[in-house]
Amino acid sequence: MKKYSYLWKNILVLAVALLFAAVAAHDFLAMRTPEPVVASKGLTRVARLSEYCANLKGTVGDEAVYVFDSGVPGGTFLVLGGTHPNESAGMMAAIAMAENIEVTAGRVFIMPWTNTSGFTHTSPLDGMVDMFTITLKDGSTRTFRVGNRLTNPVDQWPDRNYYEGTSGRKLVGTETAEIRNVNRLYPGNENGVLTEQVCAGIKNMIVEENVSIVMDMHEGSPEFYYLDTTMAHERALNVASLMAMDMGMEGLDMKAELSGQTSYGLSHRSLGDNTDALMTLMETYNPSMGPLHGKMDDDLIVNGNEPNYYQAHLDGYIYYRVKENGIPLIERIARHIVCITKLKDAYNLYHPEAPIEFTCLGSYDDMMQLGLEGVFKPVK
Amino acid sequence: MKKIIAILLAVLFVTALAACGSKSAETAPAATQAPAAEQKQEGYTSSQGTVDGFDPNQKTEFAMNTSEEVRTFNIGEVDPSLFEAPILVTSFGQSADTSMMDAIMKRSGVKDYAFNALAKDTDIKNYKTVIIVCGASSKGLGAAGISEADETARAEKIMAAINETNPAVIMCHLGGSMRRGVLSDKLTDMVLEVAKYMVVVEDANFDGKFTTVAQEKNIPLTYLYAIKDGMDVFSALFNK
Repeated sequence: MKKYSYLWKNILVLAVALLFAAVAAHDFLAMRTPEPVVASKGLTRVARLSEYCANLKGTVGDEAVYVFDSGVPGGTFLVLGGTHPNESAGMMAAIAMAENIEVTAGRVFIMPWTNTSGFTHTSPLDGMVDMFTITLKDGSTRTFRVGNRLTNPVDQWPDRNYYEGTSGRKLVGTETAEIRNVNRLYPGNENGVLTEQVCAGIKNMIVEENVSIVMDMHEGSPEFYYLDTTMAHERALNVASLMAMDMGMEGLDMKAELSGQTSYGLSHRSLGDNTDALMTLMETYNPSMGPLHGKMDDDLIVNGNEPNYYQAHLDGYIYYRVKENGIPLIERIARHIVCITKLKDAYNLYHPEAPIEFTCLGSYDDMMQLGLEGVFKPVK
Repeated sequence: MKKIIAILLAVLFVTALAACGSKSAETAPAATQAPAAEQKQEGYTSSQGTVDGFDPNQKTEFAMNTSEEVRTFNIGEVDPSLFEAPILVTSFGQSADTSMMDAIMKRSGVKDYAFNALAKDTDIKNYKTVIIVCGASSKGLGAAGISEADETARAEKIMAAINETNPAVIMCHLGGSMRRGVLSDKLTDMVLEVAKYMVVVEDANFDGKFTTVAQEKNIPLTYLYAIKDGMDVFSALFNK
């Protein structure tokens, strides 16, 4: 009799464990579903990264590339969002562009999820949320993922104790996990680990498609010095500087800064050195990424308001001019899109022989007026 | 039976934990670490910045004259007639600020200027006004393929040429507090010996350096809140 009692208790515990496992599995698998993109009418095709690195075929790294080809000869602009999936404005700006862009000369390539695998997991010990939801004008909602800045260990494991890849960057000590960081492994390796293959695919795409200029969209914690700054390879510095000046004329602080000669593996250095493209990378403020942030929830992600950082700025500990009411996601998305638009204008001034012309959501003020609910389209 | 159930439970819990992802894989120290010297990487990363001579966490006490509302602030009065074309824009320190100065001149509509970050002493005689953008950048020096000693020697030669041909010199410091390292200050001080005008992004004045020089040497000075505010200043100066 006692034997059967133990059996039922154990079955009950097993059932509860199964329930938890099922819920966790559901959440985990949900993060493998990419956000829908309601692409603008100008979409020519959705390419795959495996077209440029065959080893990616059938892997999570076979990422989507939204191609907008005007049919008018000109240059090609590549927009990279989601290199670091926890830097939400990058992916959001890329999706917003894919949904609203109209290209009239040259081509624009948009990658919303540059590290697709990174979107499939989070940093649980950082208290990160996995998704957030916005409500659109028509009352419908759209949900977006907040991933991890690194490739999911389920897709690439283990991290090596020592690694020296094609970039010349040595990954040792606390940097070993960076072997899963897309923005440390350029120009990549077609036969390397998954993250290297993704980097190689992007590098090959730039070369094969004769990409003229690239913007890699990022965000940084409030403590980071290079916020509202565009890092530029030396060949791109004049274009980036003119863009920064033009953004300033619209009341948007922006600096241009040279890429470090030894910033090995970063897009602005290693893709600039290994391709003909003008490489740029921009950072916006993201309070959810810093250690002083409070409760991690939709409000912090969407409204970007963290009073701790405002106080830290007032006390002189944060160089960045933190606003009292924070910097909401729409403002950071608008800043990225305006930066790309102004970069295109500056590029055209220096390279009239291969122009790129597009419009996307108008000015910064236009986007602020539209809000997230107006920038993104309802999914039908 | 109990053992089987315990094993099953253990497997389930491990599976559930793996499904949530694990930070430990990202932060676990390597079993074998390379020497510290090998770990050192120059340049910026998202998690660690390397900025010459400036600690972004250092508390600063000075009061700014410029602000979001007051975009420029003058000390003394500049005489625009001193600054005639042709104009040369060059760099002492090879920072990206020089490229921003080029953008200012372009967008200000200044026509008769030349931009050469690596101008030589022999170029100076061709210009009536020389704008020197001061601020040392290891990245900029690296991109130009020159050392600090090379840049200092180039600057000294240019100063000698300036003393010989006597063009009007404008000292620009656009990089803010970030460009206040030892080399940056050394190069800036060289230019301040002959400058007829200073244009400075104000947060570089956290120790009062530029205000003091303006008052002691009686050099007109314009503080900018941000680099882009230089457009109005240079447009007024050169589009007479």
